[in-house]
Amino acid sequence: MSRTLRCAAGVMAILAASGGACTGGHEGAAGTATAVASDTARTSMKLRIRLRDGFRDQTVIITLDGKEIYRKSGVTTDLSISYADAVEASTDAAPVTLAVRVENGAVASADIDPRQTPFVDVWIADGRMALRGSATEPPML
Amino acid sequence: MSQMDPTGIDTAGDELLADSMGGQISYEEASSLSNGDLGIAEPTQRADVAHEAGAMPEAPAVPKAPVLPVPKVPLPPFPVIRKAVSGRYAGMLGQFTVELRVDVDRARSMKRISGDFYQTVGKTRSYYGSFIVDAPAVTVSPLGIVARGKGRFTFAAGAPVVQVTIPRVLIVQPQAPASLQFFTVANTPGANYHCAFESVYFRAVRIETDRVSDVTTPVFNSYDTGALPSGGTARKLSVTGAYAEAGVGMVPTTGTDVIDIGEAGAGASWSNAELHAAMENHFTLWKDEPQWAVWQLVAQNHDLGSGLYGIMFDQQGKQRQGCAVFHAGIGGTTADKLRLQLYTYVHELGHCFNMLHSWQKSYAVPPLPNRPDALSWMNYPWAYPKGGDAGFWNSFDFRFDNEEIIHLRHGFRNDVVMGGQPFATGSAIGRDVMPDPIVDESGLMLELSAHKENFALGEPVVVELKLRATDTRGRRAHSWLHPNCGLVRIVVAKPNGETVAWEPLIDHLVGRRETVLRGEDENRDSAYIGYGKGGFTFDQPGHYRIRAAYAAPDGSQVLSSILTLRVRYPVTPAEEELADLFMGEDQGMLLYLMGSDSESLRRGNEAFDLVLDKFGQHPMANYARMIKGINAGRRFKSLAPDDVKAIRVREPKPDESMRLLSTAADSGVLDPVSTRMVLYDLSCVQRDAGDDQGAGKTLTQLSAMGIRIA
Repeated sequence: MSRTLRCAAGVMAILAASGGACTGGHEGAAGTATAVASDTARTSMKLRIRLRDGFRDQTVIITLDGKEIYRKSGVTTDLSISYADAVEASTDAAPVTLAVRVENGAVASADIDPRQTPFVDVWIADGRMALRGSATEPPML
Repeated sequence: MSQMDPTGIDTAGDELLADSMGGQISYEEASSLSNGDLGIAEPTQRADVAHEAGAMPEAPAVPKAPVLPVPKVPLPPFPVIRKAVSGRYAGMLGQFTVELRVDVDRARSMKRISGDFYQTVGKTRSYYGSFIVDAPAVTVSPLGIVARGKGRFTFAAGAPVVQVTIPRVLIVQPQAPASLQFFTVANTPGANYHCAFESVYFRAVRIETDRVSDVTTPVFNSYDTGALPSGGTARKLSVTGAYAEAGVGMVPTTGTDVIDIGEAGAGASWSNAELHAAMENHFTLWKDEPQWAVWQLVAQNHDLGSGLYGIMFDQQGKQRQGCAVFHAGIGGTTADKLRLQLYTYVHELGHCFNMLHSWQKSYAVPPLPNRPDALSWMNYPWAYPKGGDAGFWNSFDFRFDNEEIIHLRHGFRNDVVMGGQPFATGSAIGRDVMPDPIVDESGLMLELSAHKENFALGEPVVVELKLRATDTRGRRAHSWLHPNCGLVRIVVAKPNGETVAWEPLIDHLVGRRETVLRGEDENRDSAYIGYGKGGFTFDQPGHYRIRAAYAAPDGSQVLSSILTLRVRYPVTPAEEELADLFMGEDQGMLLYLMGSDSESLRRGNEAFDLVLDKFGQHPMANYARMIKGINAGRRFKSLAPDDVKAIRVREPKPDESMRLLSTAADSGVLDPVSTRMVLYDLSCVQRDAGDDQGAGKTLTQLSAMGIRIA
């Protein structure tokens, strides 16, 4: 499993491979999501970001308050469940500015309050990206 | 018959359709055939109806002794009940067998004919190809039903016109066979298949459902759709029942199995790889080849957690043969859980039939428009745009939408069959931009072209139209070829599958003006089709298919070949900003009008100014120069804002116009038609400004492009 882990002050990210991503607190297929001990004590809010429809072998970059928490190439949606990958980040800031960018492609950003909408799904349709926050984990099938 | 063409004319028999039909029904049967189960009013034997309809004149009154009044009791109707003809038929001719699907009556008729060919050589039988008739003309006569239309084939069919003839029989009689006759486009009969009726279902699929030992809640059986509010009639619905309503006969196998949870590994949840291995081990019908058989596993947990209700996991090798549902998220016996189970079980099997989610149809290859508000098994209730979960369930009638029904019933075999095309390839029946005519004897040919094949997002698209005669005797034709004049229609299929008719912002009412086209004569015109009544035509990156249709004086519809263009995704920040600067509504209007001083289009002009200031060296800037240069070169009249009776005149600005137009013309960016227009306008501005030498040079440049200046 290729894994990228970048931490910034107040923000940390736990990444899982495509197809076995960590969502809703469950473990990934190809490994266990790993906490970053140094920041755990002072972070209190989790943000679970799922990449859903519209990704086709692309490089995706996600930042929280300008700090890169995710960069991965070859991101591709499994159309049968509209799911490509997921990242779980912890932050002590609220709201945070979440920005998602596809290299040479769509981009979107939004201010997210993890206390209100700890789940954010990223959708691309007709070339446009949308970030949809929700209080509970939206089902997939 | 041709060895390689099951529609071919080589062994076409002499039998006429009427003969083949005549052998199937008696005179008595034929004379009493009617339209009842086609949805057309069925004649009845009700005397009162006949009377009301005036069919029988009223007899003169005959004096009689008075009698006690008798309450009028209406006579019961004696309808002539006949069988519907829709369903699956099978026939054979030489080495070919055909599975024919006729869908012209019964519930939710999709008004289509389709079929699959199989070829037997020696002891082997293999799939050969499929066809579909999207819009057959259906004729109902006392003899039966005739459906005819040009088919789309997965192979080069020598006789692509399909005609199906089926006698309609009384309800007590056996279902009649169908005659499947192919014709060439010149109407020469091709192969004829005599097809016996097989089933009211268009497809037959075997289904095996296995369960994992740790599933704590019952495997779904059925749900009363009236138990909770819904958008349809209450009925007890099972998974096979839901597919039966769609026209697919699901036959459960006897291979039902309970799988030990130990196979899922230590975590007691399933990965896709484990699910695939379980399918290979436990699906008694499993083969690594396309077949009408599907496996559904009822499991407790997937690695992605309880938020995953189900998955069509089989996306390697021969795909779509298996799916799984997870009771950790959907299990239970309450009405809402049973409803969720029915929905999930049917939904996942829908993926096995190669159907995408309602909102992602544009990811199909080829694409179709997304349908996020579809009331379908393939939508997400919680993402329904008209009221979310509650809005969906209150309106949902527990069925697939029509496009999905068409796919299930009539999709090309390998696009639907499990183990056929990879998931999402051929997952929806595409529509032609415009269907080809079966016969074209118009004697005219329409050409549609563009000067290049790919455009930047926001870049103006101009197409050129040429009309000429193919009949050596010549043909009369309208001179008006510009789509503004209404005689040429332009249809565009967008990358997301949406097909739209381009409509000009301003319709031009034109008088009759005709010419006779002979030999090399051509009527030519060009049109900017980037913006119209529907806004921007090329508003998303991807491939576009464009077709023009010309209405000839004799009523013929002359279709152009299909022009394919690609709109590039903006790669650099500059391209992205330029796309935004060109794709405002005001800018679209200015491009269509070739510039304007109108205050209402001020933002568009400001955007073009910004293009020139910030991106002056970019090729796209030349379109802004063209628009602003043409407008600067002309006198512009407008009504004074404070006095509607006063006309304000802005005089031409020749220096600005010449500077902009000469740069645009020399850029090599504009299409030839626009370049010629720019050169001509430039010469006029130069002449009006007294620069005769410059005007002469410009006209010489114009002449070099093959334009004769009068």
